[in-house]
Amino acid sequence: METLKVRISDLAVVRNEGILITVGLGSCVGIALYDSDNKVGGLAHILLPDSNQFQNKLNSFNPAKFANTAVPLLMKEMSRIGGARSCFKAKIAGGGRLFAFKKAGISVGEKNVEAVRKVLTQLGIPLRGEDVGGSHGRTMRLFVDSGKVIVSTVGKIEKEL
Amino acid sequence: MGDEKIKFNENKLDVLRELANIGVGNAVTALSQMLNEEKIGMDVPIVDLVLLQDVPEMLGGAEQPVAGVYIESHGDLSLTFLFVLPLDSAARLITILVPDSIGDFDEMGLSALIEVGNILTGSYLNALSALTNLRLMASPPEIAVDMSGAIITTVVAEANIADDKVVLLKTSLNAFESHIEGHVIILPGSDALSKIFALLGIR
Amino acid sequence: MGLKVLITDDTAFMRMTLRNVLEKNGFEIIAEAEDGLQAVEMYSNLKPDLVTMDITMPNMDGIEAIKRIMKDDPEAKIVVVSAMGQKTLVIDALNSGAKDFIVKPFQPDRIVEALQKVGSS
Repeated sequence: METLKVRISDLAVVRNEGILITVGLGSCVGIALYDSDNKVGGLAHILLPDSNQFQNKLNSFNPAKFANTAVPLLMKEMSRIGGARSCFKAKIAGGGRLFAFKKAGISVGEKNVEAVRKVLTQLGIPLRGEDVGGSHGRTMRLFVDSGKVIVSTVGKIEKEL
Repeated sequence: MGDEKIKFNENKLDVLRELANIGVGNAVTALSQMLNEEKIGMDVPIVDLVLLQDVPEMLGGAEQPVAGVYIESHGDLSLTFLFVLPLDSAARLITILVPDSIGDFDEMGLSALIEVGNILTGSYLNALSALTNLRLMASPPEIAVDMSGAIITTVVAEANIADDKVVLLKTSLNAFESHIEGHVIILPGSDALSKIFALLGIR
Repeated sequence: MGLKVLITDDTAFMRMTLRNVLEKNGFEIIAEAEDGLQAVEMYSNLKPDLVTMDITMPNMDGIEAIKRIMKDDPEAKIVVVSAMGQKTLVIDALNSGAKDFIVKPFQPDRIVEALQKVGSS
C-alpha cells in the first residue's frame, strides 16, 4: 500500500487505495476529507487559521497553510479526481497546546480548530470525528480504501476516529 | 511581516552568520561553565532562508521525540528561540546537572533543561545587545517533550510566521565527553531583520 | 549564626542549585519565591537578611519586585542573579536598589562572596 506523506502547509488527494499520512500536528490541524461512495480521500495540514490577516504581506501565497483556504482547495482537488462534494465527510486532529504559554488568551491551536470548524460548517461538510486539543503532538493517517482515520500520539495507544 | 521583502544577498547572510557566531559562542562558553568546563563544540552556524517544511528534517526528522525549550525575546527586537535536544541527550544533560538524578523527565529534570535554555538564550541576547546596543528581554522559558515536527510548527505558528521560507539561524552544540547534542534555532520576528541591518548600516 | 536568605527564581532547578551552594557556605535559606509577586509578599512576612532575585519571571519580573521591596524597606539587601546581563538592565537593577548583579551561569565563589559582602555591609 502506497503511503503519501503530507508535509506542513500542504495537502494531497488519492483515489481507491493508499494511505495519506501527516506527522507533527502540534498546534497544526490535520483535516481528512473522505467520499466513501467514490473512495476519494484528501488530507491537509494547516498551520494558521486565517489567510486574511496576511493579505499582500507575503511574497508567495500558499493556500494549504490556512484553514480558510485549505479546505476549499482540498475539496476542489478531490472533485478533480472524481469525488462528489455532497459525499464529503470530515475528520480532524491536532490543535494542541504543547507549551503552557503562560501568557493569557487562546492558543493558536485552539484558533486553528475553531477556524476549521467554521469553514467546514460554512461549506456544509459534516464533521464525523475529532481528536483535538490537549498538550501533545499527533500523527494522522487516512486509509483511502476504507476512510479509516488513525491518530497517534507519542507514548499513547492509537485512536481511531 | 515586512521581512520577506528584504532582498537577501550573501553580504546580509554573512552578517547574520557573524552575529550568530558571536552570540552562540557566548552561549557555548556559558554552557561549558555549567557542565564544569567540559569541552563544547559548536558547528558553524547555518543562516539561511529555508522552507519551513524542511526544518523538521534538519532536526533529525519530524517524528523524532525531542525536548524543546522555547523562549521569545522582545524589547527592541523580536526573536524566537528554540533549544532542541534529542531525548537521550536531554536525559544525559539532566543526569549531569541534577544530583542523584537518573535522567527522568520529572519536575526537576525538566526544570534543569529549562534553565539551560534560559542561560543559552540569555548569553546570546547579551552578546547581541553588547554589539548593537539594543535592549533585548526574554520571556520565561517553556518546555515541551514531543515530536520535533510538532514542536517546530507550534513555535512558528505561535510566532505568527506565515512565510513559506523562514530565516533560520541554526547551530548544533556537542559536549564531547558526555555525548550531548543540541540544536539552537533562532527565528527572527517581523522587522527584526530590517532593524538589525539598518543598525549595522547594511544594504 | 547564618544570614537568612530569600531565594527568588522561577526555575526549580536554579532554586535548588542556589540553596545547595549557599547552605554549604553557612547561609540559611528561609524561603523560596517563584516569581516577583511571591518575593514581595515573602519579604514583608519574613524580613530576610538577604534576597537573591532573578529578573525574567512570570507574574512580576525582578526589577518590579526590587522596586516594591525597596519601597517598603529601603534597607533591603537584594542581589540579582540572572541570565540577562545587558548593561541597561544591570543599570536598571542597581538604580532600583539592588546591591549587586550576578550573571548566570555563576561560579559558586562569586555568589557566596557577593552575599557575604552585601550581608555584612
